[in-house]
Amino acid sequence: MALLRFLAAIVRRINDILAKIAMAIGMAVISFAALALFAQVVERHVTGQGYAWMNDFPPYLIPWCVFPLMGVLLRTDQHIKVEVAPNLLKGTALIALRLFIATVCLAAGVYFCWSGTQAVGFFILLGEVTETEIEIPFWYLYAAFPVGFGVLAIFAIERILEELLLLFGDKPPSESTAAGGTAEGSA
Amino acid sequence: MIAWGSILAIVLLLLSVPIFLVFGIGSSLIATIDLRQPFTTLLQVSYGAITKHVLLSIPLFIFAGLVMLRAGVAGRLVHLCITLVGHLPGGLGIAMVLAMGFFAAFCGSILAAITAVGSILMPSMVERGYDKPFVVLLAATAGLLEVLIPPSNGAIIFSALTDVPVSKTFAAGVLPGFVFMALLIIYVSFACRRMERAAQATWAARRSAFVQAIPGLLTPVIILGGIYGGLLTPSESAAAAAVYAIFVGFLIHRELTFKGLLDAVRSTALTTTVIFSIIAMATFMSVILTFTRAPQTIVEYFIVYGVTPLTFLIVVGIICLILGTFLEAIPVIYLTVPVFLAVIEHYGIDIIHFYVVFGAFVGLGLLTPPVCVGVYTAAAVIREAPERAFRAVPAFLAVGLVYAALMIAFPTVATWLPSKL
Repeated sequence: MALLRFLAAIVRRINDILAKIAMAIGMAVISFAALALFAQVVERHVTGQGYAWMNDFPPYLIPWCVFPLMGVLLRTDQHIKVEVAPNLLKGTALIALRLFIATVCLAAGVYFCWSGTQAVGFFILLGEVTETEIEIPFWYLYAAFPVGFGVLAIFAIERILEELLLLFGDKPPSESTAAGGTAEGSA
Repeated sequence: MIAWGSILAIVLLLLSVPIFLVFGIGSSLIATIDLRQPFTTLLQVSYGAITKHVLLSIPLFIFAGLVMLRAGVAGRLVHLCITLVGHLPGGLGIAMVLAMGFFAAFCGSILAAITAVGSILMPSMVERGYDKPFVVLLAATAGLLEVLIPPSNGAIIFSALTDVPVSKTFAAGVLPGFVFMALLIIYVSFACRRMERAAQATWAARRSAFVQAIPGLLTPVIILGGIYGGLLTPSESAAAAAVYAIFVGFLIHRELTFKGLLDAVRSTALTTTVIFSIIAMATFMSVILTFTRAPQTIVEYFIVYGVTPLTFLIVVGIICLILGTFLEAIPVIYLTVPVFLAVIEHYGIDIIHFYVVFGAFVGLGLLTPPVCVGVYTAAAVIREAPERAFRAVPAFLAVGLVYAALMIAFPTVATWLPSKL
């Protein structure tokens, strides 16, 4: 039990840092997208021509916002899901279900991280670059996928440890506030 | 393997595994093991979907809406609506419908609209004696105007999936949006006909409210004027709206703080992840659809059974209602539209008409428990138990079904405006 608590504390601390990094990257991507597109519009209407990269870059950066933040959403339980089973269960059965979900997330995280890494390796060998004004190797973009699922797997481990602690009668851990905030208006 | 993969996906879905993983696990197992596709193909398809330029407008419109929310724009719009219609029977309810309509014109997000408008109007409505479940359902149903009135996230995603220009799907929602607003106003006036009426606002008060709301009212002009004037692409207009929202918040209303702005960026990043993670993984399914030729098989099925276009649209409605009862709008769109596309092509149904009918039923699915995020959000605003609010669902569902039936019967409502572009 003490070992489990110790492991959970370590993983929680690692994830606090990962969440801050992922959040910072996500916020930077959104800010850059808004400013770059707006600057491009202003420039086009003022000088008659705009920098194509300002238009081309933001969509390519979106994966670097999306994939790393999947783990943060798992931690705060904000991913969209069908809430049928959790509403029907209570107590230990509910904890067991949450443990199962976290285990599925870990397995999926590991599988997609591994498959994504293999695929990125293939794209490094291919050496393809984007058809944009500033050429970017495609693998830079694809790398967000395995990185994001790797991060998801680590957050899933945190969930597993916390559910195990709950299952063995520990009190629920205090809500982590790192990289807090909520997803608004997903619909 | 396809059967096993599908069963596994359904089991995981019912056990509450996040939907993006359900899509990802089921589809990738089928694609890589049964169809022997390399994972690189799935990755390429997924990236092709989420890096579409038009989809960039989703986070930017959400960002614009969240900044507007923190800039005090929603409060001014609500105040304007109350001064205009507050004295009518069910005046506050009608004001909510109008305010949701206004808010829909610069924000593509249902939940942001419910939070923005609802948190101002719903407590006053309850204070004035409106029934709580009625208030919750009205907010959730009026929030569906976000799906219709441009800019709408649903229209952007539909365009990204079907290659119909966003300008057309945006335009398609305008008249249906007004029809839906009119139906809601009629129902609210009828349901609240015996309630005590508020005093009518003076013209001076109305003028003052209008002047204060002008910066907010100008936002749709920037967004839609930019797109239809040929000056801006949808993504650029979203970026312009976001920067304009910051300008209004800091320099005109002076209610936006730096902390509020950062909070809006943070929420936008998280919401973007919720939406795009589903898109990224749901597109794995397109590989399966292509290789198994499932859409073509379904078309053949419809031909064999002599299904008419009208019956097909009704079937679409029933499927969307059932799926919408358990799933959110975006997964429903990605699950069904690629399959339906082949059928509507076969029947020669106008894709814009299909979009409006489809949107109507998917929207209604969002009102039906157990998965009805709009109802949960609205209930949370006034701290009402969602289960108690559910008893108001049938009446609002009936209004929605009338609207959907009108959209099926009168395709012109959907197609007229886009045909003029």
